[in-house]
Amino acid sequence: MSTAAGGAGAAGGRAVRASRGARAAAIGFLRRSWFVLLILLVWWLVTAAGWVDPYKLPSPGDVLGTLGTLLTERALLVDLGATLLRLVEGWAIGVVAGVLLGILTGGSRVLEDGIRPVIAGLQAVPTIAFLPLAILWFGFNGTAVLAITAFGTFKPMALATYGAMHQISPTLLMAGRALGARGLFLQRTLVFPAIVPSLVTGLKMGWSFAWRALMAAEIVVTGAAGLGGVLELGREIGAIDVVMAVILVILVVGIATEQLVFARLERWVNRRWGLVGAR
Amino acid sequence: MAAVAVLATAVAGCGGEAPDAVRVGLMPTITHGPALIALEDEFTPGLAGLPVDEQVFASGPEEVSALLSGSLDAAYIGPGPYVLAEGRAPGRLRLLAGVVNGGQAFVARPGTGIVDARDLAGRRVAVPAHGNTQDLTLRLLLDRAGLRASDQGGDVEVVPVKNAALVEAFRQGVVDAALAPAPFGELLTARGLAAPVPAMDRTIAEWEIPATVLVATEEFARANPAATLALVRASARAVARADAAPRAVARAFNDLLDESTGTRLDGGVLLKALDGTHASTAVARGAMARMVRAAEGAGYAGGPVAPAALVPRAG
Repeated sequence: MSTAAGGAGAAGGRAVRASRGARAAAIGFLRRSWFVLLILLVWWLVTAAGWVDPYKLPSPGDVLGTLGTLLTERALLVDLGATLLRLVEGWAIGVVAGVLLGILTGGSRVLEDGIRPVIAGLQAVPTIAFLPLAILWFGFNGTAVLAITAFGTFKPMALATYGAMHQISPTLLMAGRALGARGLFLQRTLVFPAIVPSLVTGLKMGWSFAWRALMAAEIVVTGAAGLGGVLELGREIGAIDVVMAVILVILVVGIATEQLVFARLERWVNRRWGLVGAR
Repeated sequence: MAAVAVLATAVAGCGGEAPDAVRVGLMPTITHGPALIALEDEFTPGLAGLPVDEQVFASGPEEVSALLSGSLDAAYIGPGPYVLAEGRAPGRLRLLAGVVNGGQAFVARPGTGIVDARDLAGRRVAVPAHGNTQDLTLRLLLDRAGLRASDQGGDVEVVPVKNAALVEAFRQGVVDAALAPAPFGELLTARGLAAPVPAMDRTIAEWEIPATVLVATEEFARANPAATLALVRASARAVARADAAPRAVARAFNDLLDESTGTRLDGGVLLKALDGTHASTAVARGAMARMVRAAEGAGYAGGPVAPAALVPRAG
């Protein structure tokens, strides 16, 4: 009898915990997605009430329908795959080049004086302005797009690394040197670990700059597969639903990358380096 | 931001004031020759008391966006973008008159052995943009040869290459051929980068596909019938002058080019390009129907295009 009552009590406890868990999950979901849901609601209301020309703003249902058609009939996943591959490759090349140059300019007065103003000045020039040059050098193909993506990442990455180098505490460097650390050993054991938190910010910034450069370049060099080409197709044939479907895909990829990669990386770095803001 | 965009779009939909000018769009191409002449003289006195505000665009889709967003009242435009707009926003534009027929040339890289549409199997062919007149015409040529574009399950790759990048694309061998608007095909030929493909040009000429037509927004045409009629008449006078004096078109084109880019094209190349065009206010109904069929086949048409939309209507 008591065993049966205990079993029922345990089952009840599990049910209560499950119910609390489900409620917490629902609240968590609402807290993260209330803004998106609000936008969807306003969008749906405005289109359903006929307040806007459907040519200018198709309904959420139409855009989702178009997205389905693009996925099944125009192989949008192939375009997405091609774009992501170029993005990761271009970003990686830009990160490596940017970090190396940032460390070099941050560690040498001669290089700093000569190179840093040029990199800072280049920040003001839109990366896409270099596309005609890239087409001449690398051809009217994916390599030119890759080069532009890498260059778009390189500039903010170099400046972020340079900035991080200048934020290293002089006391830390003095202590390292007093303990006998020199040259590459100093760079590897003291300088590089000290700039990592700032590098993560640079990585995120480089990623978003890479996206912008990549999309702009893919819109012009439309021969190869890629989301930019589909975006341009939508613009050229006046299909705003296609344009919005592609924007939706880019948005989802952006949110997923932020949540699954950069937010986790940031939390790990904050915990590992004992920094605040690791909520 | 999206909410702001939604509200901005909703607010932008409201309007309806009397116009203080007729906003006419055109593109800086030789096939818009009569428009260039009209801008020089015919539009100067104004249209039914309204001055003309000309706006230059880089492509047909941009003109369509401007027309449908209320930034333009009328435009000289290719039939491709016009039929696509009719499919996606039926009844919002009105075909007023024809302007120029012909004006596109098929060229191939020397050594590719392309002499007929059947030779395009497995090749890469450039057009200026998806859904523009050249893209749709190329699909008609492929259809006639029993071929299909790669995005329709075939093996001919249709590559959008902007006119400004066409010379470089040929120089690098990125494409094997191009269906180019005048004078870019002639320019490639003059520079030895491509050779004409007469068989294709003959077929295109038989179809009487317009290069440029004059359209207005339905809203403007209804609200301003006198200005619309004046626009059609002024354009017709310019068409007649362009047909009689191609040198005037070449000069007007070079003047516009000089004004915007500081360069001029070889007069011989321009006159050669004008040889392949015919300024006329007539629009072959069969040619427009062909454009619609090509747009539907390519999956570009958002919906059916009413046959009445393919017939010019000034009043």
